[in-house]
Amino acid sequence: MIFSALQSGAFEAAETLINGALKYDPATLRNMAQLEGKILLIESSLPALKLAVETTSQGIMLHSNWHDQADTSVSGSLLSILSMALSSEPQKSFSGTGLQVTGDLEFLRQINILMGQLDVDWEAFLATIIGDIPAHLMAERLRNSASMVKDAGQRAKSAATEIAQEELRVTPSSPEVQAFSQQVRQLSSGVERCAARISKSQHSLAKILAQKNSQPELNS
Amino acid sequence: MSDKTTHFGYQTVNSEEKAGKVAEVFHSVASSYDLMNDLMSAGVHRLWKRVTIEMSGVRRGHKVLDIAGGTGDLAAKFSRIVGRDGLVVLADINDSMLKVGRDRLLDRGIVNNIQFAQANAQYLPFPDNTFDVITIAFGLRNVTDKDMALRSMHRVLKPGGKLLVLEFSKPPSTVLSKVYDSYSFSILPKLGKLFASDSDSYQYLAESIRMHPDQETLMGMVENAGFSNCDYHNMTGGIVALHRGVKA
Repeated sequence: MIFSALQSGAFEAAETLINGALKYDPATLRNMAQLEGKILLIESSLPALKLAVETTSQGIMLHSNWHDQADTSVSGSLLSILSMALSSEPQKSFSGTGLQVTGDLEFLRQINILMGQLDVDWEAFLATIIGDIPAHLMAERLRNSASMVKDAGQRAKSAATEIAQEELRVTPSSPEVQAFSQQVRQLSSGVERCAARISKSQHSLAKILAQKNSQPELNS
Repeated sequence: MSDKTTHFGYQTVNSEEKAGKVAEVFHSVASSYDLMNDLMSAGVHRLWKRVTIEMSGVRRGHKVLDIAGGTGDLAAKFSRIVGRDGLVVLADINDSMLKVGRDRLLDRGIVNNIQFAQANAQYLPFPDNTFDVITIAFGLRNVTDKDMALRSMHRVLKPGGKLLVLEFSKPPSTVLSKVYDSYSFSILPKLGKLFASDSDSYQYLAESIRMHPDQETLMGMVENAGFSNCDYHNMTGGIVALHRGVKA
């Protein structure tokens, strides 16, 4: 029962988190309303866990004590289930995934697409906690920081390449690689031509030898 | 006035007086009830209620009666689960608690499938065989005649319907029991005084918990009221117990 209370607490927290995020993505929430009342039953074999996800117009509801029918059931190891859930691409085939899926596959596909499209307006979420103006300033700063981090990352990558190529000479530069590739291609063509000539010479030689061998028989 | 007596915390009072005294307590704590619940249980009451909801097996389209529903914690969740086709009735004997619950649910946009009823659990004003599930969370110990209330719940429940009683109980561990006692009688009234300016009500809360029947006794009472398949589950070391029964 202690586990049950803990499990219920974990589900409560997950439900609050997901529904909180959905509140700031009205497009996904609107699409979710079309799936109202549908049940996705998830059964993990390792560790043993059973969870029913009900879709509603206000988000999702998680039920840990579900004994009724479900629209779609997915069973397998928790790892396989999580990798499906976290996949950015909707699953095209379940073969080789270790998952067993029964029921309405279209519902599962729609859920997967909706979760993949989740685009939370974090600025609006922050605004409910700290107010509109501080939230906008903070979001602006976060966006600038993210952009700076991205630029710095690109600059670091470029500098590392330059040092490896020009200073340490541990990797060749692009023109060097191209020149080397050109030489390899030329060598390859030359070898092929040489092989063709040798083959041709072999044929000619074989012909001459055959003619020579046949001449004494004619004379005799 | 009848000679029949009952307990109000550690006091013995006339049966007819108890409802009025309990009403005074809840009129006094209604506005700070949620805050105090969170403070007193460190938020664990939410887990106890969540387990109750999970074990109720309430589904889309069900009719649910939440007795002593107070500020509407369970009713809000039930309303989402039963959907447009279902119905949740939030009942409480105390109009202050009911008003807080009603305002809170209305503020959250919960209006379509919910009704409110000021009702005494001993005389539930509903036809026989009406509800699929009945819950009473932290309310039964305040009822004057618990057996009568359980019989009334049995009457309004549909055959096959489920009763869930979530209530403070007796921890089987003597160590936990001692810690719990000292918390209840030393810290609880102080918290009540500090945050709700009302230590007496929280003193009553601690006393009423001690006077409430233990797990086995309450299960016997649920069985005597006519319920079958009765069982109970201790939570947080038995500080709280969830009793279940089914109307055959």
